[in-house]
Amino acid sequence: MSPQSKTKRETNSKGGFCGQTRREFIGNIAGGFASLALTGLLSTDGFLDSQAVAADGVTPYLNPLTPKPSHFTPKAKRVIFLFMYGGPSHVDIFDYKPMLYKLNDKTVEVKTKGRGGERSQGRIVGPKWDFKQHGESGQWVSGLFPHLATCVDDIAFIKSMTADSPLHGSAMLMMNAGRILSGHPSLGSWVNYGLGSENENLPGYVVMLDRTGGPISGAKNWSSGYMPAVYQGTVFRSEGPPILNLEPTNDMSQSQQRRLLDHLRQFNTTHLSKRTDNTDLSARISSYELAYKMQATAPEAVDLESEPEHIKSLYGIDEKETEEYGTKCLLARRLVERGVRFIQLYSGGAHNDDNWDAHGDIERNHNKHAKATDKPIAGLLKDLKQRGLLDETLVVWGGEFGRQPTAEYAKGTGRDHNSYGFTMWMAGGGVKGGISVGETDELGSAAVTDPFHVRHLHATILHQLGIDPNRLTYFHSGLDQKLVGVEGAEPIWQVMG
Amino acid sequence: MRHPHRSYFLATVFLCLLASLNIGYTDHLSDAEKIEFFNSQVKPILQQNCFQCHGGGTEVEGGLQLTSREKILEGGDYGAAVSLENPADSFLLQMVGYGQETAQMPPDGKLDDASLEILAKWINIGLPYPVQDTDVQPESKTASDYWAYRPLNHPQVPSVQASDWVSNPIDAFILAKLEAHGLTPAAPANKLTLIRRVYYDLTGLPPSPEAVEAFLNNTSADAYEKLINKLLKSPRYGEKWGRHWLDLVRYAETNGYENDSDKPYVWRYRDYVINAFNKDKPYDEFIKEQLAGDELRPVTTETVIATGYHKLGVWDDGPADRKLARYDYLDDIVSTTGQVMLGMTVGCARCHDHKIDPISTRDYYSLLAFFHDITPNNRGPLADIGTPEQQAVRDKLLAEKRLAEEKFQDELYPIQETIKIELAKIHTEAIANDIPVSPMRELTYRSYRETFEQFPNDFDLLEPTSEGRLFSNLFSLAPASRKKDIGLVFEGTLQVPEETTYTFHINLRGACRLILNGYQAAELIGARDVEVTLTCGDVPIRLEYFNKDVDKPQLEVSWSGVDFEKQPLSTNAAVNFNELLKTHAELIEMNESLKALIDQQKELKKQRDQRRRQRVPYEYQALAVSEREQTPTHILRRGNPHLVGREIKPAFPEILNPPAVQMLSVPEDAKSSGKRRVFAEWMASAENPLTARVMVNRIWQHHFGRGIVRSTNDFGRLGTPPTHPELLDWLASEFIASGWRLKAMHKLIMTSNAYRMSAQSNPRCMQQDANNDLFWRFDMRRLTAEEIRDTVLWITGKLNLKMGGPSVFPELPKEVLATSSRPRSVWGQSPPEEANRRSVYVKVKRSLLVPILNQFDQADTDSTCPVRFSTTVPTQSLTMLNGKFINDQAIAFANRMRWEGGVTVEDRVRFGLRLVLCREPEPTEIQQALTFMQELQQHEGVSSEVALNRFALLALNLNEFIFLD
Repeated sequence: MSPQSKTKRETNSKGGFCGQTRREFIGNIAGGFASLALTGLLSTDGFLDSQAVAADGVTPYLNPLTPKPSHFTPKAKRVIFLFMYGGPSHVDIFDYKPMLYKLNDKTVEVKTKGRGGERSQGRIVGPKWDFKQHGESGQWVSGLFPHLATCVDDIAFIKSMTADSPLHGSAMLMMNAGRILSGHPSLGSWVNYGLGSENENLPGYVVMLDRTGGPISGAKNWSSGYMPAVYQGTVFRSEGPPILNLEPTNDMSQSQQRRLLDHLRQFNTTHLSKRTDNTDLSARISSYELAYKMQATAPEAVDLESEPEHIKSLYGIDEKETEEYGTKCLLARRLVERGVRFIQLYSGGAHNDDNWDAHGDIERNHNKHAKATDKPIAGLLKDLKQRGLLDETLVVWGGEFGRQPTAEYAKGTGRDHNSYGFTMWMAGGGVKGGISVGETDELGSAAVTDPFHVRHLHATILHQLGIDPNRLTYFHSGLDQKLVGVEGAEPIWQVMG
Repeated sequence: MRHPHRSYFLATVFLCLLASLNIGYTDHLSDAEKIEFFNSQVKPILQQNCFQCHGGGTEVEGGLQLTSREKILEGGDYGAAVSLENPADSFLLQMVGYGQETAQMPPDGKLDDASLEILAKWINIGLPYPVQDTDVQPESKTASDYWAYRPLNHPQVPSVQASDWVSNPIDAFILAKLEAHGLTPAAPANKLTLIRRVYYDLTGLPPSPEAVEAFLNNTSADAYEKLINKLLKSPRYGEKWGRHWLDLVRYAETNGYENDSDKPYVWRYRDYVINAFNKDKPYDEFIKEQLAGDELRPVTTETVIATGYHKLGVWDDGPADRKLARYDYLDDIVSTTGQVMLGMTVGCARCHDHKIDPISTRDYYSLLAFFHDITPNNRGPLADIGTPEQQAVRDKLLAEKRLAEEKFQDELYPIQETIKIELAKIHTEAIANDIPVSPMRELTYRSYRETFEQFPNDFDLLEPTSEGRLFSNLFSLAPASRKKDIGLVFEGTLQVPEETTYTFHINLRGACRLILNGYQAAELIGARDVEVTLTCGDVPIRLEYFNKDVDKPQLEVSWSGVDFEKQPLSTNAAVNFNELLKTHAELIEMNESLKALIDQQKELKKQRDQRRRQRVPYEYQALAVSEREQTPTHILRRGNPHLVGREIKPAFPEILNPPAVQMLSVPEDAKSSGKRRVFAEWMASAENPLTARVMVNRIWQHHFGRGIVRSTNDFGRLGTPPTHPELLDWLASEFIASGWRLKAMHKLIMTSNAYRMSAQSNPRCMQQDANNDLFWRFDMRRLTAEEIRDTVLWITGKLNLKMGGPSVFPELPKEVLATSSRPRSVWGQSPPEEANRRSVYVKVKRSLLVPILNQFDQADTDSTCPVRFSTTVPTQSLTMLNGKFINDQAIAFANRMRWEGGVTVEDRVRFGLRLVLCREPEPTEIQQALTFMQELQQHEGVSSEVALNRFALLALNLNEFIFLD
């Protein structure tokens, strides 16, 4: 195939299957990124120049997370993804279906697929909370989210989401990495690969987990897949040192450590003097200085002492039920202020009712998790807004799927998983507020009007960040891999302001 | 006016016969007009949009050629492109109409409406196409001329000017290129550099100070060669090189996804790989065993374990779409095998012909067909690899366990029956409701447990294992303590209402005798109705039941008389005993004798259950391949298992000019089809142009830091071309000539001067070839994750060199465990000395990574990893400064300096640096260390002991320690 036809494929946003771009050919020179400089290879071809500079032996450290230009002017600089792990019930929260109240306890014909397999009929569970219209835009929100209801004019609801799997393991992978197959980089990895990080003293991709534990599949959810580990998510804790190994151990004081680093540097500089052309050596020398700075920066970033009481209270940190998620939301704001590119906050962890997976009792489960997150999330939106940060911060809310309008068991109010139709929302970051796009059927069981796939959601997030989702590629296994799949996907244009 | 049906009929008959003569509702166009219509309207559309992929070239997408009427009607992999019977249903029109997301042509974008109308009309008027249209053939791609697909030849060793640099032909190939570019090779590395390089390359561990000294002092000419020989014999070699292979085959010990469950005994595969390298198993055998070890002759335990290769990948035990998951699983095998053994990215052709390489979708499914019947990951039994003796021990234990359980059951049943009877005495309605009223009275049973050869003539001569009353007064198999090889004798009286003829309806699996009034009324197997005349009153009844080897025993007896319909004499109803006790708890509470019986029954039950839970240990199992029944393989449109295309037979990729596939005749009782063996034989043959090339390139890669082809998994056009193609071919030929022996190749490569160059830079070469494409020097490399962890343990003297067996669990910080959805059970615990084994023996759990290994770029396990990343990021420094592992090891290292390093601090530091750097430290370096410790003591107020601990930590952070010259 001639180079010309390759260039043609590159400009073809529909994607040419296994089509190859010039960039990937260059990528191959690295033979799998044997050297540091090449790990930064990216959407611009400029990385080759930087490698030439790095070869002079003087260039100190080329951070693979160095900020990189976007494809076009971004609307959002950062993303906060509020992950409602387990699958919140859209028909009980945002997707108002009056019919469900009337049909409560009645058995109806409706096609569902969940962990209990495929069914063609089921007993309707009427929503347990009342819906009201809120804001100037009149968006529907149930009594589960009274605080969030005051923010709806900043929110774009997507009520016709669909995904490929109604089972946690694969559905989590899909929401996080675009595929039900394991092994692909997560959204946050793609964003950091595409844009780098604005703050070299903090990780560019931060994940905060629930106290009860991580989600199913653990680290796979923030994995960098076939990309270098540098793009994987860093788990941040809201208690104790935020990052693993951030603090010296064995009673080593900061000044002792400083001395150790000074002497280490002298040893390493002597070693380098006979090998000046090796940038990996100098990079490693610099990385110790960065690590040292990180030790100071990261604790400062998570130190809430300086936050006034009214701010803490805005996030619900002063209340027992909302303290945990409120703290995470406030940390997210502080990280956003410090240039962290992608932050994911898990609501819920471990298994069963420790997260939104309400198989047994929808009331008990959702009351608990909504209570824990409603005020913190509303607080986050309000705080970002009052600081002028909401415009450039894209907030995304949702789980790996929604829940069925019908009951899972003969008795009780528990609902099984539903990937045929569910709700997610976005706010800030150039997204139009006070709107609702797409619809499910009258039972809320499946998306019928303007259905959107997880791919479209991912495409929208990338697009808001100034990245063309169909041009952000990474060459792996003979394929131009994309977050949105080789076929590509359009963003959800309707939500854009 | 023409009758529509008639027109349809004519069209189908005649159009099949006459190429471009069309009759039908559009026959107002003459043939000439139709051809003109094709030439002026249709052909430009085809030329512009279709012929690139569906022309007459050698690479035809989906097997569909649009170059003649016949070819269009014949169609491609997904059937005919045009239906003349129902033009509107034509596949071609569906594709260009962009109706389905999975079937859209041309892929670059939908045609305009005018073009769509022209195509529709073209088909409607009967698909006119000039018979010979020569200018629709695009130029064919000469793929078989591509370097990687050419047959292997043995290139001539080039001649060079500086021939004294040539130690073996490798050097001639390298030097010839350097000379052509006016460059000179770097000076030889010194012996210190060399011994460290050689140790790490072959064993993944550093040389001991003694080994260094011995090598330095050995001035004999063959000292270096002897060193290589020694290291190639070291068991550490297999651990180092086995790891390279494990990267390629994405070795992990769990399945990933929601449960991330364990792959039982998968570590045997890891041990197999390590042993194979240590034994220098020929590479052709090595891959044959992995692909088809169960089909080779002879099949050995080792070859069975090798087939664990097929079970290493990720596997979703609860997939959203089972069919798709099945093909994802097969794709994982085909893609991995293609990349690892052939350097071909065949996976790209799953949905569509490979756009760059000459691999068609047909090639892909032809390859997949070899693997099509494999049972998925955790389905299919584990292979029993025990010796007959080991199996006999297990069988004996199993039999003992079963017998113990049965004995408890024998005791339990009569007690439960007695309890029911006693309970019924107290409270007559208590439990009768579930059981039909019986015409029998005082029914007792005797249970026998023997491996009867035949129906015992006289049960009364045998010793029953259990006997008692039957509460229900109905025949029942429930008293038997097991299912097969049992005998039961029931005795009681039958209340006969009047003297007449009765019919006993008997239906059973097993055999029985019915004895009435002391006379045998029947002996039977299966089902039969037995007529017996009985007198009025209580008639003695006896039923003997027997079975041998019956998995689902059954006994149904009923009778009918003149005045009554069928009435059951047997029951299958089982009273829920616990429920019963619960319901009547109050009654029971008041009755002491009943309470005692119940306590006794509870105790028995507890003991039985305990016994039941005991597992008979049997470790002689392996995760190995197995096949299910043979099913045909079909091409799947766009890779979608719900869009099934043409059936496809196993075949090798066409571009490699392979032989035709000859299926083997397999014995009738074979557990598999033998297809994989056919594949393996071809894969491992010298005629396969890729197998040897791909593997020698990998050997080269792990000596020089990069392959001659840098993209070691991709020898196609998307990969990088070889920097030294002749050298690659020469090495591949040597490899085959050596009997596919890796150790011979290691020695060949390592005794070249090219390998022994120093890493020193040179401005002229640097300017001309900064990438070192020409191998003008040796490239420095960072140690791998495993090398770093293993060396740290080695330095502190804690490394446990025990080989093989189940994987170990080094201690993980609780922060890391907290990332799992099961923080408490996700990781195991190993005693410290076990936890300190080499990293290749550390548990590989897909959802939980060991931080120090993960951060230093261990292989991702979800897909094949041909080249490790080598990143430098601050979190690595944090781990090496603050992590618990490194700090624990620093203290152990300092202790070792104190105990073994001598009395003075200088000596201790010297001792420590010698271990870390593999050389004698310079006085300035020792001075630097002492200054550091003095500063700590003077300015930071730490003790001399702590100061040495700090120095130990510093030493483990040195660049010279982490990098290899």
